[in-house]
Amino acid sequence: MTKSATREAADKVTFTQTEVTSAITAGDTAARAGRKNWIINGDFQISQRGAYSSATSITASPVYYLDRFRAKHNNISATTVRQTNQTVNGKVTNTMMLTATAGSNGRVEAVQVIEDEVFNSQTVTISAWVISNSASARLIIHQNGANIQTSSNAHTGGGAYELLQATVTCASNAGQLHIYTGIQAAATGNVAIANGDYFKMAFLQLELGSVATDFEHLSYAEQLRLCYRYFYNLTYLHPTYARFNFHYEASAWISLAINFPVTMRTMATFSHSLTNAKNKGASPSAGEDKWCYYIQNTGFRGNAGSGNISGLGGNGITHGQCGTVNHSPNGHASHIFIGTGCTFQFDAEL
Amino acid sequence: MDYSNIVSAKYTFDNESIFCVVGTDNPLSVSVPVSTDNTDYQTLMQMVADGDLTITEAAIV
Repeated sequence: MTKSATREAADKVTFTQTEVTSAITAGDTAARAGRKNWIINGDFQISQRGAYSSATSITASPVYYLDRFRAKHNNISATTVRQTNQTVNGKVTNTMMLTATAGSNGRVEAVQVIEDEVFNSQTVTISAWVISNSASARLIIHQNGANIQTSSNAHTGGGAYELLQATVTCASNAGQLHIYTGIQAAATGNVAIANGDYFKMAFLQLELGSVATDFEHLSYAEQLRLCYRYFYNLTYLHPTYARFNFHYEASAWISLAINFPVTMRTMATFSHSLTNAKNKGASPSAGEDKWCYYIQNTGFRGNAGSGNISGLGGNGITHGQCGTVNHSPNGHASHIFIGTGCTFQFDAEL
Repeated sequence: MDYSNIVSAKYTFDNESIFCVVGTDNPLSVSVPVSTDNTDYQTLMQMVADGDLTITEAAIV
């Protein structure tokens, strides 16, 4: 088989460097750049603290609901809800919604703090698809070191999804970036909010450069591991209960080591809801705020002795080392079962 | 951590952490490490500075 003259000529065509460079689009650059979204859980797949599938009241103090997002209101009242399987810009995703349940001069917002401080003098772009009935719905990049705020275009308030985006070249002392989303003034202050005003967003992304590119999708497993650095709820994915071996010294001390799936950001705060009264003496059912000991060849046991399991405390970065003194499991118990309705979690959030 | 509902706070042995009881109806036991990078610790120290929280010393064991 021989090439045609046209084919041979085409094969010999060469391009100058200038021609190659000018032919590379912003999309090409994004596609070859690897990981690009500095927002974690920007499609709201992970919610270890609760489902929040129905409207949940938020407070004036910032509280984490969906992983990596802390929400609050100011001078009004408001709720948050996470909705799954929403169609946004032709794609199926989850959304996070904030709704004012009382009107005033105030604001309602969700914030993510970016841990890495690598944005000094860098150009960054924030973007998200937002639906709102408020013309004060917006995204804001706050440079915490330089105390500079950059707002996206405000939503029209027209009740349809719109792409909001903002680009800024950060100051040389930008420090940490805080990404504010919600109904708020351009510099994160209060605005006029009416009862029923809402803000719902999808595909939140922060990336280097001046172009808002397509959202970078990560699998559930990838997002979950990123979230584990900041928060680890041991009962989140267990079907009925979490079970741990523990060390027991007769009538003196129990301790258990809990391996974290990833190294946490810093020494984590450990919170639990175990009390002596919640010792079921049997295997906890799914969703129960109960726990128990298990003794090999003997079975489940109720609490006994003079100890107090509510005194269980501890911390860790790579693993949690938890213990309490003078707790008697009434025999040489080897396991502790913690129901999925219990609080049993480690928090190293920003 | 629900800072507005801290019932008690005390340092643990060797001042490794601050053990808090949070809430009354269904209390949580919360161990906050003495670590300046931990945001809960930062908040507790600010509450102490503002006079909003007293942390008792560790018991001698």
